[in-house]
Amino acid sequence: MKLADLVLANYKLLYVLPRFGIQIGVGEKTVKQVCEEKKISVSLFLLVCNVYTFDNYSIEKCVLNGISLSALINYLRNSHKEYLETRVPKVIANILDITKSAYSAQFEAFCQKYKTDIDAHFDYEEKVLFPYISSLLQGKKVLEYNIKEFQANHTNIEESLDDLKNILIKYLPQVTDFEQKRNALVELFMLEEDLNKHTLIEDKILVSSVAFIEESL
Amino acid sequence: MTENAKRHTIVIIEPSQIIESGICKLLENTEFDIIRSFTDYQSFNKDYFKGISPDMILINPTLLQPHKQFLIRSFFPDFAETIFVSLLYSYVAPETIYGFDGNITIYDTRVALLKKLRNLILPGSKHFNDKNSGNTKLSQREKEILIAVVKGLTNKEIAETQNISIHTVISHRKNVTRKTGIKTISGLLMYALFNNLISVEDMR
Repeated sequence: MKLADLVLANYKLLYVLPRFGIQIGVGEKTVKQVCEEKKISVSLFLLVCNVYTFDNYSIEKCVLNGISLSALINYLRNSHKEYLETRVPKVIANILDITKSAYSAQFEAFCQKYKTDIDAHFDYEEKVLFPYISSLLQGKKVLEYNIKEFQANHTNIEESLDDLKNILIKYLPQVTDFEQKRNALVELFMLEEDLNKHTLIEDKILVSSVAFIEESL
Repeated sequence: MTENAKRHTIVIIEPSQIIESGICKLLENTEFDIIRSFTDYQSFNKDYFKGISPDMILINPTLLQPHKQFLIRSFFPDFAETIFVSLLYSYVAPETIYGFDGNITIYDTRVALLKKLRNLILPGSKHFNDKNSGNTKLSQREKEILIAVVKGLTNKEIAETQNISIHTVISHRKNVTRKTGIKTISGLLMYALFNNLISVEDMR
């Protein structure tokens, strides 16, 4: 399959590609060619693309065995960086723009809290979970922590976005410029959807793979 | 008694006597009864007997502090069931009349004026729809608990001040989330502000 055909089939992959270091504009090159050039695991790349494209994509155990966890962690780190540096600030800026006429200070506090929460959420994964997995990969068994603990504490970062959507759609005064409001909402929906897929990758692919390693150690 | 024969009470808050008398004159011999008139908000607040809510309040929005105008209902916390109609002399910024249920202008003809008021009072009008959609309307108790939650009280504190069990508080909170579709405390705060259950001042 050509890389271009993937994007034509699901434009939301445009957000996924850069996290693998892949750019569009590679002409007729196939997914395999591009992945080999960039030294990316084809199976991991396709797995993520499938999760992003099909709502009920079921992840086979055998597929999980074939993927590199360190490559997956690298992908997740890149995703976190993109969310924190680009997409969340963009969505927040849009929201502050359209809420100038109504409760701007409260919306600002809301967004600030969301930013803090999401920072803490990713920070925990990068400082606690990922190092733990790295040490597992080196064959070290860490007794104080296991993946079940992560599952239990994996907080929901989409709830606030959902509330925000609700409030903006139902209550933001009609006087707000519609086009601006629509653009802000569309970006918000896209971010939420993307984060849902991101969480799915963590909960399904990452957690299952780590549990598998834990058992075998 | 048929719906048409039902009479509706109106309070007018308008500084100009000419305008006020004009409206009274236009509404003579209709189903609308103007029960009181006030020249400003302060005298309304001081003298109006709050035990009886009028069906409608017609108010000149320039009488309210400009920065809070879109919170019309926060000026009238005791009149949740009343329909608020702004009385306009000229073009005003749309946000000025945000929150009002309807508006009339001094250039409306008698026919247009009656049509607007009747539409507002119709059971099918937006205002009444909101009131009747029982499933999503918060009860008084739920509103009180929502306010307490957004003010930062814990379930235990709410249970104590409201004299109910913690279990009941949790059940009310679940209902609030079900009815509003909002799950987080910061989301509920925004909901409470937009629905005039609290004001920005309350949060300080």
